[in-house]
Amino acid sequence: MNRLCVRLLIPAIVLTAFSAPPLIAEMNVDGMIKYRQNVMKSLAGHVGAVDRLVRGQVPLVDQLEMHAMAARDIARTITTLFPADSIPPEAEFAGATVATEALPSIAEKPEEFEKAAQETIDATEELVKVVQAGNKQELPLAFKRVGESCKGCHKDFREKKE
Amino acid sequence: MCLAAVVVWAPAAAQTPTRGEYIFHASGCAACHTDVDNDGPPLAGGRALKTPFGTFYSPNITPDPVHGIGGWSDDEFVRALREGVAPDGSHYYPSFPYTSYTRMRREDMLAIKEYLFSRDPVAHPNRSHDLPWYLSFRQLLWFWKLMYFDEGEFEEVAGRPAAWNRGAYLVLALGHCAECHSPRNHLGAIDAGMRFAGTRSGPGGEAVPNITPDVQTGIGGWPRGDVVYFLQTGATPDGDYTGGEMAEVIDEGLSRLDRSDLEAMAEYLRSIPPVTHLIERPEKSSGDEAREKDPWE
Repeated sequence: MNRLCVRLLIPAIVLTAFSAPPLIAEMNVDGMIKYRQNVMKSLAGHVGAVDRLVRGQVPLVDQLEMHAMAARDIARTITTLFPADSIPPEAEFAGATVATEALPSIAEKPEEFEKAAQETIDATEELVKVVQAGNKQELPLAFKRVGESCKGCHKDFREKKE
Repeated sequence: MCLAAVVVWAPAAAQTPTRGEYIFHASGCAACHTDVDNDGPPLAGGRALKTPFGTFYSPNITPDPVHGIGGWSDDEFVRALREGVAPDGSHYYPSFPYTSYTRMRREDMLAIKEYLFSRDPVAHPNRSHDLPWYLSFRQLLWFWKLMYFDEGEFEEVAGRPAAWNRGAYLVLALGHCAECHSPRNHLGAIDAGMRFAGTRSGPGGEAVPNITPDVQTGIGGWPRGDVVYFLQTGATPDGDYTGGEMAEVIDEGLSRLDRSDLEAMAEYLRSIPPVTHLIERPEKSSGDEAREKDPWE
C-alpha cells in the first residue's frame, strides 16, 4: 500500500512542479519596463495626492497618511525596478520592444543612483513621521524634500519627460 | 491625526536678491554657462550643447579679464545680447540665445553685467566649438541673421494688462523659453508658426514639451495655478516631477522668482495661440510615423 502511494505521489509531484506557474519568474524585459513605469506612475499619483492635500486644495486630510505611507512603501522598491537588462543600451540587447526613459547613467553610476533613490526613501519616511505626528509646521518642508528628491533623481537618471 | 491645509513652497532664495541677481536668474544664465556635468566652476563655461549641427561649448562669463568678460565695456556687453556680436566684431552662433535676449531692456542687461562682475573671476579657458568645417565661417552668420534675426527691444502691447506684458517680457526676452520649446528648421532657426509647440529634438536630443495652451497636446488642460506651481517647483499636475535641463532651469532660475512674476508668465503662456503638436515619446513600433511631424529631424 505504501509503495503504491509512493508510486502515485512521485508522478503527481513531478507533474505539479512542471505545470504550476513558476514561483520565481524569469524577467521579461518589456514586462519589466512596463511594470516599472506603472509603479513609478503610482508613486507619482500618491505624491501628487499628498501635494494637493498639503496645498490645501482638497479637504480630505484624513487620507494624507495613507498616501504618504503608500509613497514611502513604493519608494522603498525603487532600486529593485531597474535591473541592468531593462536599462539602455542593455535593454536593446535583451530584446526590449518598448521605449524606456531610464538613462544609461543608472547602470553607469550605480552608487549615485542608489544614493538618489535613498534620498527619496529617507524623504518619504520623514514625511510619514511628520504626518503621523500631526506636525503641521514641518509638513511643507517635509513634502518639499520629497519633491526635491524626485526632481533630483529625474534630472540625472531619466530622459526628459515629454 | 488632524492636519489642516498648509502652505505652498516659499521661493528658494533666503535673502532678497539684488536686481542684477534677480534678472540673472530670470534669464537662466547659470544653467548654460556652468559645466555641471564635469563639476566646472560656476559661470566659467565649458558646458556642451549638442545639436544636429555639432557641439557648442558655452563661454566663460566670469569677470576674468583674459578668459572671461572682465574687459568688456557696457556697450560691448549690450551689443552681445542685443545684436549677437562679440567685442571683436564676430557673429555669435544662435546657440547663444541672443535671438531672445535682443528683446531685453538695456537696464536689465547692465544689471546682469553688474551682477556678473560681482562674482569671482575664474581663469578657465574657453573651448572651441566642435563643428563641421563648413560651419566654422562665422561671416556666414550675417546671412543667417538677415533671414531669421529680428533685432530689437521688447515693446509692451497696448490694451493688454500690465501682468500680461510683464509675463510676455519674462517669457520672450529673459526666460527665452521659445529657444528650447520650439522646433527648428534645417538652418537652425525657430519655426515661427510652431513657436512654443515643443520639439522632439531639443537641446541634447531631449524631447521638449509643447507649452502652448492646446488642451490635448500642450498645457491647455493645466489649471493656471498648476502652471505657476510647476514653474516654482517642477511638479506637474499629475504628481510627476520634471527632470533633465528643465529641472536646472527651475532650480537655478524660476524657483527664485517672485510669485507675481510666475503668475505673469502663466498668464502670458495661457494667452498664446494653441498649437496642436504631440511631443509624445514614440513607442518603438510607431516611432517612424511620429518622427515625420518634426521638421528638425
